[in-house]
Amino acid sequence: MTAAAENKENMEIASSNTNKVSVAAAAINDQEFSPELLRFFYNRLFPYQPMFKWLSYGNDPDNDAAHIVRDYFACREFSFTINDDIYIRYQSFRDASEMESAIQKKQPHKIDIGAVFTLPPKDHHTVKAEVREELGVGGKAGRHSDHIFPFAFLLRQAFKPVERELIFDIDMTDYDDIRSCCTGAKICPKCWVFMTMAVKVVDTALREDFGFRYILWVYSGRRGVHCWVCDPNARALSNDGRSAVVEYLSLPRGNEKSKGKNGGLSWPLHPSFTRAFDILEPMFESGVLGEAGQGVLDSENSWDTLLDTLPDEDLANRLRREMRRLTNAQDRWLEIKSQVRAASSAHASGNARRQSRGGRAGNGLFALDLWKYEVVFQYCYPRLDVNVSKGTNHLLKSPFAVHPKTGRVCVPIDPEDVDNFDPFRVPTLKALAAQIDAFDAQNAQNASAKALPDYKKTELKSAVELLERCVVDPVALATKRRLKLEREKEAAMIGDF
Amino acid sequence: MQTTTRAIHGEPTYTRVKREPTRLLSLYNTAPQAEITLEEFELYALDRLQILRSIESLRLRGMKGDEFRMKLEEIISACMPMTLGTAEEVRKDQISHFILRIAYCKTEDLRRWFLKHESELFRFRLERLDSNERAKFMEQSGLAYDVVSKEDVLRLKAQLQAVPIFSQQPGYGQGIHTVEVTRTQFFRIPFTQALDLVAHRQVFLEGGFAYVPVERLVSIIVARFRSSLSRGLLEAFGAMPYVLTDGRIAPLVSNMAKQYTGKDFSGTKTGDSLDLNDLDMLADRSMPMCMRVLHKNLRLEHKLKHWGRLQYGLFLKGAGIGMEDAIQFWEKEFTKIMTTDVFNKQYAYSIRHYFGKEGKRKDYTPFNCSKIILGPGPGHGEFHGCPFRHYDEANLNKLLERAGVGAMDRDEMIKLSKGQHYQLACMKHFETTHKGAESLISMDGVGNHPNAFFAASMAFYKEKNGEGGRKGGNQNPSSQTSASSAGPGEDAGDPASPHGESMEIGTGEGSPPA
Ligand code: SF4
Ligand SMILES: [Zn+2]
Repeated sequence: MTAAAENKENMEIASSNTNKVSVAAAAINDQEFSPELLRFFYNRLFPYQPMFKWLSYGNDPDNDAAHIVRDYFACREFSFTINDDIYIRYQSFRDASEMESAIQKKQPHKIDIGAVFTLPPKDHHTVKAEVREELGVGGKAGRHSDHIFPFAFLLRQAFKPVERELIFDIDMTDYDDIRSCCTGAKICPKCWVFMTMAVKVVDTALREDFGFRYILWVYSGRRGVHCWVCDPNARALSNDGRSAVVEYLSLPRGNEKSKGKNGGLSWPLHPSFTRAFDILEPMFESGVLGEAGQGVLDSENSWDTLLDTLPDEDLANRLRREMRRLTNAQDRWLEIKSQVRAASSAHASGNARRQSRGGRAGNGLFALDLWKYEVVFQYCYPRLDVNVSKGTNHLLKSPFAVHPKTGRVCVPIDPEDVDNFDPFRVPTLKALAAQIDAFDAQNAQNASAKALPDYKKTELKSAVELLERCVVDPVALATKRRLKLEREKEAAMIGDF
Repeated sequence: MQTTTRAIHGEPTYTRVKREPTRLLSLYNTAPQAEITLEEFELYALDRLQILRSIESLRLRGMKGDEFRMKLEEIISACMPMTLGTAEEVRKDQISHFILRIAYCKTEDLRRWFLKHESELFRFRLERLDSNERAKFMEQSGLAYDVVSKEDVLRLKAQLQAVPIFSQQPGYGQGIHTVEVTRTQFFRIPFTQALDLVAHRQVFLEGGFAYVPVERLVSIIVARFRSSLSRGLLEAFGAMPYVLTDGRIAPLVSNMAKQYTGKDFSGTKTGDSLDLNDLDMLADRSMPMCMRVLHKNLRLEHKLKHWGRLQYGLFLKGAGIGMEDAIQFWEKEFTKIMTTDVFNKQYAYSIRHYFGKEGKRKDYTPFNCSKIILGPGPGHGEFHGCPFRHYDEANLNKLLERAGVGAMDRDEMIKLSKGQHYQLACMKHFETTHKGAESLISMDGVGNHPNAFFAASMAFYKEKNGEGGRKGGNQNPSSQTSASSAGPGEDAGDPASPHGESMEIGTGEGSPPA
């Protein structure tokens, strides 16, 4: 932290206290985001308790039962961005109420969540630098692992990340080369479909291939999505493990010679690719091909570009003529596919084993078969920000934080219903304020309804419920089961059933 | 020799070595608690070192596949048979491994070297097991993975078939072939233990498990071995302070990594003595780069600093220059900038010293490449060291160019040096300047010892000019003198120990940079 930042941190920030900030005060002007709205949000809406329940994974600091890691939550790093430019790292809190008062005091414009460390991050200054240095190499041995390391007494002193959720970041700006509708930070329903597709493919692979069950998808507040995998073995993954997973989930990098951007596919196709294709192709047809999408096949220019990538020039020329005859993008795609299939089986039957264009060494024979996959994947395959996922120590914006540019809350997304998720209908701070007003007005006579936590009076209710359904509840259940098992094991050992 | 009962490393938990005669292979998870003599300590370690170094040099020579395996088998059975799993074999295997683990834990470079070649040795031995033995080994090592049932294989046939097998074993072809799925045995392995395969999508995954065909298992087990050894090396590093409190073992361990296991050129009592007048010609024709640089600078500046005198002086001694000639040689050069008196006072003594005629009367052995490469690099105005290791790219390029090495060869040698294959670059230097040498002479030791380079070059020209007799000249690759060297207590005068008594040589100058 810079000295300036530290100063700022210690400065008294014009403070609210526990008095509820009134809706009227918060909504004074017409903006989607303002310091007043933010204060209102942190005072009355931010779901501290559910967030704490999630991030403590059943390790309640007030529970004195055995096998509870009471400082688990306290060892978690949070970082705050204050006033858009001051970045404070290594914040940590004992429990929900400490987190609440810190957030209310500092009014961060952005909240990031980091790793669980060997020590509460706020104490990290007290660890001697040289010890930290020497032990920065210690593999996965650490406080939360049961691997016995002879120098554990030293490790306990060292400050280093021990575990964190496996995270993914998918950002629309990585799709700029194929977006014809918007660029940069802008998004529209036409390009949001790329996010929908990414969620579906990644979510399926995480569950089916890796067996992960506690997966939280979150809208990033503006133009992308984040994913938090919370299974114990995902949280314990080494950096190598994280790299392996994210590489498995990414397209192989094509070599420079191959024409298509993603010409790195090879035959036979890995089952995860075949499955991704089955998920993506229908959406490619309906949401990308035509003018309702990116217009890939709706003008001569656009189909020329596409057909240029075909590894068979004669076939491409034949198809160019066909394209003009057909009247819509879907039909064109069907025609292309069927002709490619025909040509490919002709190749396979051996009468046309000539070198295919494109020089994909070793794959010449399969280049035609691979082509449709390459096309669909080039547009639709998830583009993950690999560097975010690779390190245990990477920070990621917290769910339920607010995006200062849009005023929208980073709400969870239901992967089962991601088709119906509309980023333009995600509540803004202003809308939420209005919803509380409306609810209270409607229930003026109903004291028990008025006494509800404020977030339950708004659209955030279902968002928080989603957090609970995706991770909080199943993890609580798993913890209960684990503790029961531990107790039984112990009882068995001392012969006391 | 006294007997030590000291545990070599770690906790005294492993006492069953002798009762596990069927054990052919180990992950070395627990250190042996065995009684050994100091003599065994050194012998065992050097034998294993010989094997690891041989693996390195076989690989450096680009040897692969069956040829590699046959050569390695030969070396192993000569140094340390490991085929029967007898108590004696297991004991030596375990002990030598743990000694070297300690000797090679001190720096990142040493750890990487040891890890790499131990893993190769492990892989070789693992591949040598039959499927029964392999299953037994896996069970003993806690690597007992579930075998995928026939029903599951049939259920997943399509997916399993879609994962290509590139055999990654060194020396195997890189062809793609689809597994004959129903006839292949698959293992269910937590994906976290098959990260390499996962990252490259070379395995089918379901529910967090990788379905690994038996052909791939070797890579997985080797990866496990690697990661546990890597952790073990760091643990050993942490335990160094305790190891070093044992005055008998500490010097053995400290010098182990610098030990040279081939011919040491200590007493070149061959008839081929050199004529001082030939040295300029020989420097250009037959010396490795390290010595060439020293010779040229000596001629140019009429002096060499301490480490340079030692490195070059011992090399000349190993090359066949006797003490009288040596004194004459240095005197002639040095007195161009100093009086004979000063020379006699400050330098003649040290020359006699390293010929074993003064002081402790210990006969010093010429430096081998490891010593030169791992030793203190040259500081300002110094010219010792190994150019492939200690020169930057531009200077190395210039140097090689001046030595008449062609641009393409230079590029290759520079690339090798950058990849830390200094000795391989040196071998390359030999090959390009001695065309056709492989068929004429034995190149054993080239790239491992400057004197081997020189001797091989001499033999080459002898052979070429029709003077020579049989192939190999006076080379004797199997001679092993290090094992018979003096006991550890008398080792302090080793010229390689940077601040040992050998510092009395050339007291006229400051210490070399560390
Ligand atoms: S590799 Fe050995 S012989 Fe070759 S230059 Fe370096 S130190 Fe000299
Ligand atoms: Zn758009």
